[in-house]
Amino acid sequence: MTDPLREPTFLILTALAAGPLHGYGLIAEVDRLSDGRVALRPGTLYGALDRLTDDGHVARDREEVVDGRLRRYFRLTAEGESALRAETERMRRHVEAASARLQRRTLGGFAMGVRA
Amino acid sequence: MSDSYERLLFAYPRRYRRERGRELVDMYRELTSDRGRPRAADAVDLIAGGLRERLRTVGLGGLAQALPTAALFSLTALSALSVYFVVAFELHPDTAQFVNKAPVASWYATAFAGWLVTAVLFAVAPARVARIGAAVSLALVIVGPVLRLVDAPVPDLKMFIPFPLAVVGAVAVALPATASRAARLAPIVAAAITAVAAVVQVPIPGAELWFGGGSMWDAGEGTYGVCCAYRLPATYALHLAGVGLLLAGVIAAVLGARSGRTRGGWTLLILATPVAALTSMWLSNVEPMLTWTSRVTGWDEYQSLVAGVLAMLVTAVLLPALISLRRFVRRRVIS
Repeated sequence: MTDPLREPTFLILTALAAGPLHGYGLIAEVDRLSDGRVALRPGTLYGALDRLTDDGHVARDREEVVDGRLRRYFRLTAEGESALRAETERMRRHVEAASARLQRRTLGGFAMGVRA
Repeated sequence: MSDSYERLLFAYPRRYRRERGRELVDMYRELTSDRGRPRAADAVDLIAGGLRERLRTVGLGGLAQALPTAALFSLTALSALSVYFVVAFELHPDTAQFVNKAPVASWYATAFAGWLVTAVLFAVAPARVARIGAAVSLALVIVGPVLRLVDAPVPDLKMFIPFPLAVVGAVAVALPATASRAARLAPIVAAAITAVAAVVQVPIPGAELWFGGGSMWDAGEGTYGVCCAYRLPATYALHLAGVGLLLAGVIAAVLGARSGRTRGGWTLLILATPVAALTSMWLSNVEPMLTWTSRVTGWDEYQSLVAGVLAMLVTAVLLPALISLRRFVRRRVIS
């Protein structure tokens, strides 16, 4: 078992699951996915991308220059995809467990309300 | 503007600056729409990013990952210590009156108050605010020796008290941005437990106190910052905090290793340095430290400081260097 993915890492991999993105695009996509709650800065983003590249989860895709500015694209690797799937599955199990308990709690409260 | 951002890349390794510097600066240009100078948050982001990159380059990237957890443990230890020092010394009428005829015994009461406020902030406010609280508390500790140097009329303590507090306080600044509810409450719970222990005067096992009323909670006049044995009330509290941090680190490492996770091990490696600082009084009394420190300084006050610094050189320099070397050798063998 590996360490659970941190939220920014999870969001970066999720953003790349739709296709290769450059740094600026990744920041915007993570912002959108998290409803503005996770605001990555370039230094933090590149640190995470380097770590993910070392782990084999992300790879460099291509480079292009737009308006004189260098853009390097990153893509999700097969290893990154399975890490994202594993993390999604782990989170899904947690969500299901929480939903089931909340539902039982709601039904219990409703039953108590009926009895009262 | 890009020049200002380029200057902030100084923390990155030269090779990284050459390969990725332009890309980073361009991204900042794009994000800020080519307006304005770097803000403080941009500077922190780039400097922290550079330091993380340097650690990653030498195979110690796990340290940056584990730092927030180590910071949480450190703030928890500082919260408990703050309550102890405030109750047993700073606000204790005997001690404060004996030392200064003042309402508090020393300048460091401000730092203890700071860490307790930080514990509350960490529980209820965004992590950024709690980090500022931790940084202010650290600054208050560092100001103490400076006030002493300039002979300011402020009640002071011997250096072996603020030194470990500053080391633990430095780690505590890196509090995690996101944490579970239980983790957010841990520092304040540690402070509350210590306060209850103070009220009921829980006997502390293993304390063979040489001064005062024989209790950690009733330390007695004139025992605050007295040198040089680790079983004295103030230094024994630091020692216990060190042992507690070590246990927390070992448990994190063992539990992590059992699940195939490495972060706990890195947390233990970071915590080893504050532990070395907190147990420096004990270290200065065991061989070979006793002989070494006696050679360096004949001053009681600085003997435990030297022991702490020597131990910290092992935990913060030698151990990481050995881990880095091992990774380097393994990589060479594999390739």
